[in-house]
Amino acid sequence: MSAPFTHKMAAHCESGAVTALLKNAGMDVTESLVFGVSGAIFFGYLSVPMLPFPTIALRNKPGRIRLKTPTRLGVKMHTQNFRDPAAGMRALDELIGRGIPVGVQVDYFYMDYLPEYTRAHFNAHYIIVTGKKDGRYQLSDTYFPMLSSIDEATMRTARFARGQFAPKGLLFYPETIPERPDLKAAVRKGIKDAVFYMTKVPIPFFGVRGIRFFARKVQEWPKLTRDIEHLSHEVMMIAVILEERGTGGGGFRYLYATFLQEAAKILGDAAVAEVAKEMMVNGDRWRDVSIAAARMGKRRDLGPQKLHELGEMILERAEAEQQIFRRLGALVK
Amino acid sequence: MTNDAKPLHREIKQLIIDSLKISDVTADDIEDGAPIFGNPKFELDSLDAVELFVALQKRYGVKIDDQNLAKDVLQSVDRIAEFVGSNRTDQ
Repeated sequence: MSAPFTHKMAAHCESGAVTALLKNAGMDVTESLVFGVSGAIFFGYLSVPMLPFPTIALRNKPGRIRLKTPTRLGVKMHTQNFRDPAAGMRALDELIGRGIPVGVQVDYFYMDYLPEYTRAHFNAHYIIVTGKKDGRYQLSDTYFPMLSSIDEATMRTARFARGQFAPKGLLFYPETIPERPDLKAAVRKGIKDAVFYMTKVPIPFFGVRGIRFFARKVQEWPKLTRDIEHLSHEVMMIAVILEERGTGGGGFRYLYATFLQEAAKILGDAAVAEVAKEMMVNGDRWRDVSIAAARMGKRRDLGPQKLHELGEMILERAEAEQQIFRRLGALVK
Repeated sequence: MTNDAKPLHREIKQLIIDSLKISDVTADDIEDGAPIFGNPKFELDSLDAVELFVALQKRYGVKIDDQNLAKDVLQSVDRIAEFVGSNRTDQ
């Protein structure tokens, strides 16, 4: 049993999976629109007991795209969690048996079609199950170039993995699609959300304030690390997080710039298109941060002066994003 | 005192559940004076704190524009209700 489905790679799994499901249901949307409408662009410097080392978040909490975008586009999305894995697997089988492609949340580690070196435990990965054949689930993973498959036991383990962002058997699929979604309203809400979370949240490690916080804190990382090897690893992780962890590059800033280009057309506002260009340049400068971090880490060139230079590059991103989001806030009221 | 005698508490509990998309939890499961964050029942983190005070702002018109205030207010449903009761602008 297999539902007809057009597989496509995407910049980010959650926005990619939601986009693919909506397109499959007949809605004309792009990944960048799905991302932007949910207001997903964000920055957070996260230093909490449950994490072994401080890290950065470049989008809002996993699950928010899946929840906000369909609502804003007038899509009725069926969403279900399961306590009982057997019930969760039966429900999945029943849906794909009816020819319905289903989004599921899984632990990334168990996607064994992906290169082993890329696989780490992360519970908020999203894929689409399109069918089942010879005991293997056929699936569309936006991080893989073609349709793939995993066996039943692996799917069950992946869907019911424990820990942070535990999937709890989550499955979702669009039930109804509006004939004429109010894209203007959806785009406005998405931009207002982004402006709020980036510039108005009164928490020093979130939003633009969070970027400044990061710029300062990264210079203190030598105090948190065991030795130069540890510091090198953590500094190089900056590049991995910004470029490799399904952000589409530049810490989601390129994806957001593409959204702003579309938003400008939808809103009929050329000024938003100008902000899109600034955001694209901002993405380039975040990429420069990635390259600098990777180079410093690889060369073990991590003295105070070098870390200060990295901090200054990050601080420049804070100033740029302050301007960008302030302008967006003035344009979209 | 039952939840029915404290309608604002009940409202806030439902707002917490709805805005933070907490599954398998009802308003009856949330104790008035118990911690919201750091409570293993709800698995909430600092990103959820942001979502919650946005939701409180939208629903009750309260402004939480200081980090220390946010930490204080979001401790428990009792504390949120006390703050909302004194500062709401939606009525």
